[in-house]
Amino acid sequence: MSLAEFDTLRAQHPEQGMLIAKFEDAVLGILRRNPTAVLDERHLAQVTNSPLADVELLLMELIKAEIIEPRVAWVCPIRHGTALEVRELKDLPLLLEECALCGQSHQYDPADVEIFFVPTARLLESITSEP
Amino acid sequence: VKLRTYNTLAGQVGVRPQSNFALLSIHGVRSTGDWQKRMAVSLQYAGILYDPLDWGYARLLPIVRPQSTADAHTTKVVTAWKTHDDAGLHVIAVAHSFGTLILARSLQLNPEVILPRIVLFGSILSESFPWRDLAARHQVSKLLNETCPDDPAVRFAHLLRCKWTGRAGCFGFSSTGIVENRVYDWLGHSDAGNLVHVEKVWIPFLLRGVIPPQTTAADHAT
Repeated sequence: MSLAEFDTLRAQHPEQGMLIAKFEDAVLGILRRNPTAVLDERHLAQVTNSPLADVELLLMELIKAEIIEPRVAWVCPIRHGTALEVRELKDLPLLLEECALCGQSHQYDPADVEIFFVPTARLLESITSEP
Repeated sequence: VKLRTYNTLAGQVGVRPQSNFALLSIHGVRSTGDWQKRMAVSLQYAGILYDPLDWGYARLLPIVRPQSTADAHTTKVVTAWKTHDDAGLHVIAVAHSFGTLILARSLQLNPEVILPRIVLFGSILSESFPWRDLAARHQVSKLLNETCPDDPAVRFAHLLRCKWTGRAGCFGFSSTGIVENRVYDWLGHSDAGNLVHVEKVWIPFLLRGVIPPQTTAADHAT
């Protein structure tokens, strides 16, 4: 069953109808299993068998449609895991003292920033209120 | 996705890019700052919200009355700074030629204005400009002053009737501590605002406070 949020997206981009349908199935499948899951672009590209660039662009369209929202991660340059997570880039400090992963201090470097995607409360509500 | 990829796609789709810094830039006289337009895209990719200030195309007034002209334009700088500061962004600045006087006067006249990192090039400020006082007020933490001994526009700036003007764009600031003077023979008066230099030197400095190796004329030829 299709959600209203994705129907709007399909109406705006009829040429991408097939990709959006596969994408919707994949996203809803992930979130039904785990509503707090992060929507990983590489995983979505794999399960929808679509080019990564198309998936990334579609994720941005979903942000515009307020179906998902971005989160910002400061990735430890030594251990390569998420050392700090914030809602917006402006919430990151310029200095990360005593990194939780490696214990060292890191100066802010945009190369260490990754943006990931989570569902909005509205999308989760739509999923849980499905008949 | 990496920040640069996100901001590139955000631009394509019409989503607000992610920024944590806002950069104010101030151009010089007889110009509205072409260099400001050239660097806009690189800054956005780096997660810097860019606010190039335009104080108009001025010919004579800045030369006849430098201080009062600069002081009259400080309101623009302060208003822009306040907007970005209120939005929770770290505000930084780049200024060129007469714009360096506008920027310096904005800081002197408004102690609430904090610009932790500043890049100046083709500066007409005095070599003895009191950056130490502004640092003591915690308004500036690091300043990169890009100079060229043969800068033709700066060479006679010490003759202007203003106690704050001089040839820092040729010979650097004498103040130590927060100031890093860099000397380039290829720089001329306006060439620092080219894309290669912006990406290799200014953006790393503005974002991380580190000053990368100097670029050479050869870098700009490639």
